[in-house]
Amino acid sequence: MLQIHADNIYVDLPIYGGRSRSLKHALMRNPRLFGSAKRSESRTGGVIEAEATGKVYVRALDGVSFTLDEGDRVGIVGHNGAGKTTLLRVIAGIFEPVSGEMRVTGTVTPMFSLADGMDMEATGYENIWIRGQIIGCDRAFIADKIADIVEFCELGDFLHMPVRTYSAGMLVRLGFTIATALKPQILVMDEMIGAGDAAFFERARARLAAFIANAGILVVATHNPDIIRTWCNKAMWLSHGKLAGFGEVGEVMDRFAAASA
Amino acid sequence: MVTQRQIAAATRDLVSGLLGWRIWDLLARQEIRQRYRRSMLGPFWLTISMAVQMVTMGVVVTILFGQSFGRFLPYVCVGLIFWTMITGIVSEGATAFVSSSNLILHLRIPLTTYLIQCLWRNLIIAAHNLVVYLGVAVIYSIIPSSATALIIVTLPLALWSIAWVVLFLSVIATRFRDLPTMVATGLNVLFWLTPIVYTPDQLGAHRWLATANPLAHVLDLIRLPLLNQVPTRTSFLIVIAMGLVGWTAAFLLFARFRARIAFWL
Repeated sequence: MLQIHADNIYVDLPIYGGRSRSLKHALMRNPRLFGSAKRSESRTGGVIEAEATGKVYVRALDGVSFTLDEGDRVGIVGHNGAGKTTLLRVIAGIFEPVSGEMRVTGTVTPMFSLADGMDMEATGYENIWIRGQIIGCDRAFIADKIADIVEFCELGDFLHMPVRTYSAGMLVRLGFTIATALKPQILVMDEMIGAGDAAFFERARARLAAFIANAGILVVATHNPDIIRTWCNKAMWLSHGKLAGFGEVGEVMDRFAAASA
Repeated sequence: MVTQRQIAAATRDLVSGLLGWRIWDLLARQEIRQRYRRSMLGPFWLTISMAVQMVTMGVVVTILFGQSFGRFLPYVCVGLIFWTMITGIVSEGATAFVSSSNLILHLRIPLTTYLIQCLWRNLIIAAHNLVVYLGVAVIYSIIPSSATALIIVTLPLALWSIAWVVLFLSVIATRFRDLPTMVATGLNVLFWLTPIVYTPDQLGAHRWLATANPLAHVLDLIRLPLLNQVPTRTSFLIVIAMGLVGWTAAFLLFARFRARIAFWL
């Protein structure tokens, strides 16, 4: 049984300038220079705080709790800097919360980019193996899927050319096709992955639908309300790192739309 | 300071990092290939540049110190090959997390994967460089003996005794970005303090400079077997002691800050 359970999660993102990145400055730092703790709020972003030591951090998630079960398709909305990407990274296990607990039952597949780990000098064909293994497929799985990938991306002989020679659209085609060959248990996406030119787009939609339908749980953050209303059954609204709403997609999206207007 | 939970999580990271050999092998090979793409000789450029460096340096110091080529050139050759490996491991290890930041922030792979990748990559490079040693061994007819077989034990031991440096430096260098520059300077100093292009005996009354330097013992552990000699018991003890102390410190540091590394990138 797949499940994501977040229990009162706090995440502070440290902000470093050139000075605090320096070991020399850290050793010679004078705490009296910086005064006492400060707080500030703005419409976008998390709460910026400064400790007495001069360490500045942004509270990106501020006591977030929720439970997602198998079959849930959750869209996350919120202003820029509301904590959407941070929350996705915590679910993916990339960030660990400062306090609180994230318990995930099942394997999380983060899908934050389509091209990271690709080798620009290697051919498209080689990159199917490279990228495939980096996102966690074993070689038997790739061998099994490679015919499907080659056929779907329609790159033909270009698969034997270095990826460096690809146009942006061709690169997206390749990345998209490799990513959607997976069968993820828990799929975490930052912005819906979209693909290529008009001709490819319709086929890509169908593949994406099948890909998402195969996932046990989907969590996607996006600024596009239509995507959430189309693909999700639940919505989560983050505001300044706090959970402002969580529940049935129509209700939360209506409230979010009213608040943003 | 370091909780039981942090140590357990760090241990899991290290174990699953080691077990995920396909990923670090893939990343290491990919990086080496990238460096030599579109060059005709590929990674054997490593061998050639090592040969050129070894011949020029080796010949100059041999003449300078009035030594015989047959005795001194193999010594300098093996020393340079493994010094290159050690500096590669340490300096690239210090930036291992920073240079893999796009993968770290987008994928869930144990952090130690990136460190093991750095070690493995430098071992592969050293294997290419060893071709130069084979050439020298043939020219000066160094015939392998039972002492040479010791390398099977001493090479892993020597690697283990310095691998913790990577773990230690990579954590600090991710937080403090001026560290890699300091490391580069330090390695330059250590090159001259370590008997690579000279022998400890040539230091005369200042022989202690070499014997007090743990790196000299690490180097001896690898170098002497390849020159048909047996490393001293002292060298073994110093290297093991350094490894134990270093690993304890580095592992505790890693356990304490492992969860912060992604935030520092």
